[in-house]
Formats: sequence, C-alpha cells, structure tokens
Amino acid sequence: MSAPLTLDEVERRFGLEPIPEGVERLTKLLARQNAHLDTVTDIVRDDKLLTLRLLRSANPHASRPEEYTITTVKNAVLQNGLCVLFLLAAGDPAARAIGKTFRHMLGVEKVALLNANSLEALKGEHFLGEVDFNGRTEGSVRLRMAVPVAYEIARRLLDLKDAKELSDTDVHDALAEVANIVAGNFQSNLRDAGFECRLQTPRVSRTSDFKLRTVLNGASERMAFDMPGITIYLDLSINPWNEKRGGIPAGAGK
Amino acid sequence: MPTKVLSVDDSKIIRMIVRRALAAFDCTVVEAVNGEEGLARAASEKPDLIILDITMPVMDGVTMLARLKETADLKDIPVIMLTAESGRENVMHIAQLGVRDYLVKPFKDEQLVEKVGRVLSLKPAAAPVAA
Repeated sequence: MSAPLTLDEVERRFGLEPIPEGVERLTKLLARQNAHLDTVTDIVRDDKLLTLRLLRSANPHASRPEEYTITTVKNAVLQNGLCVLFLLAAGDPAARAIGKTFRHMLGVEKVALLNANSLEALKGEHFLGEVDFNGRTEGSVRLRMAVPVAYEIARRLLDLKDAKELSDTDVHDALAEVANIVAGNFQSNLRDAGFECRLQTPRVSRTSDFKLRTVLNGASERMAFDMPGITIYLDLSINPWNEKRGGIPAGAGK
Repeated sequence: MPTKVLSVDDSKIIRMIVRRALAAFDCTVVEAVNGEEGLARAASEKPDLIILDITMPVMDGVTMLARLKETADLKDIPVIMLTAESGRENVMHIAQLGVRDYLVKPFKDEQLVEKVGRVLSLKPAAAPVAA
C-alpha cells in the first residue's frame, strides 16, 4: 500500500496556489477568538493589501488616504474590532478571485482595487449577483455592476465579438458563475479555518438598491475593482461566529 | 476513434468554456449538468477523461467521483476536478479518492489545455483560444 499523500505533495502535484501566509495566519488566529492585539497588528502590518483594506474600513467616510482620521494599523484594529478584521482576512481570497477572474478569464491585464467611497454610486437599475452561505458561519457575497458592464463581462467570458449576440439568460448565467467563483474562493478559506458553511445557489437580479447590506450582528465591506471600461463592486458580509444575539464572544480580543 | 471528454458542470458558461478550450484537441466533448447525469453519461459514453465540477445540484462532484471509483468498468477513467473549491481538507479528500488532477476556478484556457494534454498524452492540434 502506498504512503498517504501529504498536503505539500498534493499542492505541488495539482499546482495549487498557496494562500498568502499572513492571511492564513490571521484567519486561523481570529477563528480561535483569543487573538492578541499586538500579534494581530504585526500580521496586518506585514501584508500591504490587508493594511490598505483595514485602513479604508476604519475610515468609512474618507474617499482618499489624506482624509483618514485613523492612520495606524493598531488604532484601526481597535476601531474595527475582531469581526471586521476576520472579514478582511477571510475575504482576501474573494478579492484575489475577482482579480484572477478578470485577468485569466476575461483577458483584462490590470485590475485596480479602489476605495469604493471614491467612486460615484451606481445610479438606477444595475445587476446584482449574490451567493449566501450558512452553517457555523453565515454571510453573503454580492457583486454589483452597471447593466452594460454585465453584458461586457458575459461577452468576454464567452469570447463573442458583439454583446448583441448575448441573450439575457447568457448574462444571468455569466454573472451567476462569476459570483459562484468568488464565493467558492471565500468559502474555501473559511472552511480551512474551521468555519464549515454551505454555499447557496447564486441569484442574479436587477435592482436599484445600492445599499451595502450586512447580515445580522455581522460585519461588511465594499470593495471596488476598476478596469478599462469596467467597474464592479464586491460586497462581503459575514457573521463569523453566527452570534444571533450580538457581540463578539467573551474572552475575544485585546 | 477520436478522444472523448465528458464535461460535468451545472454552469452552461463553464461547459462552453471547456468546449472552447478543448477545441485545441481532436476530441469529442459530451456534457452533463450534475453528478447523477454525469454517472449515466460516463456509463453510456465511456469517455477517455472526465472534467468535473464539485458544487452541483442533485449530486455533487465528490459523490460522483466516489461512485465512479466504486464502479469496476468506470474506475480507471481519469478525472480532472474543475472547481472554485480549494479548501485544503476537501482537496486532500478528493486526492485520496484518486482524482488525476485539479484546477481551481478562475482559470485560463491554457491551464486546462495543459492539464488535459498531460492526462491524455495529447498535444494540442492548434494553439488554445485565449480567454
């Protein structure tokens, strides 16, 4: 009988990309709910993307760094609390999945992660692709984009010359698949940290409601991704410990 | 006889992308939309390779893979998982079930072509269409 495979061997054989070390450490540390402030602060400081997202989250009304009132990682951690920090860490693969989807499947070279506050809100009807998940942790992944952007994404995914060749069903299917890919990457990181949860079937609709929605007692974050001719918004919301009555469990924190 | 590949995914978009990528090979692509249908098509078509999603209604890809490996005349068909699920515990479980290769969505057409070519020992007849 052959020896059981190790994780390293499997990752190498399949060419799986590792999760960034800081993200993995932070997710697992926060999952245990006894994270020490200094340890958390050090891990975030070592990861540029996490630092950027944390400071944006701690300054929700600022549209650029010059307007920040909270400027250090330590103060941002204190301001946000562990639930938001968990969302930032656990949501990292979802944010990366957006970039990879556009680079690998839509032929976009450069994808910029912008401060959603610096952009004008989507006005009027837009497309919403959403996937809920529930179990030990619950939350949602929502993608929003203007109607022509949704058609452009479907056109690129299907490698068509003209968006006029697309049916509404094609656009719905394309957005459902992109939402599913992003949610699947998000869920994988959660499950690796011990947060068993199941993805629901993706839903695609048109809506005029651009509000960032948050699951009960959870945290939420809106990110904006900008490419030539395409801007999409990613809303993540999570209640990691599925606390129905609010608050982080006793013993968590500083 | 041309090589036959079974693509099992509930997403029409992904099935279309797989078909487009495999146009690089001289092969026939047949499709199924869930694990149950996938098992039936595997039995009737006897494909040379199965490309399999995980999260699907009716029967998921992990259950289909386990059933394939329990079926004497299907167990040797190589399977490539094509999924957004990359949780390491799940990947380990799937590796132990005997999957040949694993590709995480999002992916490039070229990555799929390379993995399919390696499993089937085929060289693409034409350059893969860029995604």
